[in-house]
Amino acid sequence: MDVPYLLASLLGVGLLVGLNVFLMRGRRASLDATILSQCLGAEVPGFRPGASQIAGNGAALCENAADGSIYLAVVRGDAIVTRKLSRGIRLQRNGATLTFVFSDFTFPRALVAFGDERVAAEWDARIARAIG
Amino acid sequence: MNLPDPTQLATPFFILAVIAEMLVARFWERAGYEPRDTATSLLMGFGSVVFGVAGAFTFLAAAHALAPYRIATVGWSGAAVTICFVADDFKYYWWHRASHRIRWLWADHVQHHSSQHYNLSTALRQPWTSALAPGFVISLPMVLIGFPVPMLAFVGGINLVYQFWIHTEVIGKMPRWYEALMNTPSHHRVHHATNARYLDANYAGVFIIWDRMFGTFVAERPDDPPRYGIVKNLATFNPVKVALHEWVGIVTDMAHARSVRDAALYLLAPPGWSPDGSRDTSKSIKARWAAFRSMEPAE
Repeated sequence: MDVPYLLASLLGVGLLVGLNVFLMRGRRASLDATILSQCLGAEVPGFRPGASQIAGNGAALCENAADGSIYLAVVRGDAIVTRKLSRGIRLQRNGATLTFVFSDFTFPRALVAFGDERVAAEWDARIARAIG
Repeated sequence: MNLPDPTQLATPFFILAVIAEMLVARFWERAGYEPRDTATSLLMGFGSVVFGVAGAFTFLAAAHALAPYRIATVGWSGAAVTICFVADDFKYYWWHRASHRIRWLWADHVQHHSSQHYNLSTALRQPWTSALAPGFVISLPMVLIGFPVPMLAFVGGINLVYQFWIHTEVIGKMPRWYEALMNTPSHHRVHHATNARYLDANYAGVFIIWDRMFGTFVAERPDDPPRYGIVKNLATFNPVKVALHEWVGIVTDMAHARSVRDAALYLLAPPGWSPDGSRDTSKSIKARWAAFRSMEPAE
């Protein structure tokens, strides 16, 4: 394997990514209740949208009314990534903010910021019930 | 016989095609490109070349050791290269199918499927850990038959180059005869999709006839547009995490297994297998989808 070839490849990677940044600047997925339920409806067989909470920081929570399970969704670039909340996650409430820590190292710590503390407490209790 | 490396020869075309597709994505919105996703895909491609050297050496060593036991010596001719190409693609089909059904092999192959985008850069998102999932083993029977190693490398390279252009949403359908015989963007979109109806389908490399013959063919439907990625999409663009996440999962599961049998099945059963069935496999997702579908009113 020759070094100039590898260096040229790395330079090529940089140039292509630079072009991509230039062409697609500012494109980012948005998350609202409709997009969230469409996304989960497509991913989860039998999903029926229940209560949802969209935080301003690109994270959201949504309940599946079909079975009471709760999903966390985060914006990642121009896509949305979801996780069903289950035992094993660490959930912390700090005022009006819920913090989710997964044992899965491909899903970084997620914050869901609520408008007021009471709503955060309600979701905290709802999640506790859902994951048993 | 000295043959060119098809992948190296095709590299300028790969670059021009990615640029062209980006422009289509920008001005016609028939494809999606996200800079960090593109960076991950291209760095995965770069890393696979670097780390692939280990796998290539292992294959060469094994082929060299087996050479005295070959049953024939296949000479260089157009017919021999053609037969080798078809046989290699047949082998690719089974290896690819196994890579979706055995978690050990999936840990390597999942890296290619980890993007939520489907564009030409996704084609270059190749695994870094192929030395740990020894695909060369399935090539060894061809060495034993007597195909020369350079011929195997050449047809393998052509197979890889062919598969580049099918990673696109820009091309809809090819002519009917072509769709019947060959792997196409439409067929391969199905393969990369996470829609329940499309899971575990279309494993072909070049010839889609293998899927048609062995019951794994599923056609793309306009009423169910593919969504790309994996069942549990990654919320990271870090190529190291992309490369290692399933391996880490396997090691963690095996370390916590309650029996040797469970430990073995964490490695060898289909992705998502767990002793209590609490995780999703493609089979359980399809079953749940089929059950909900049967309850829906007919359209």
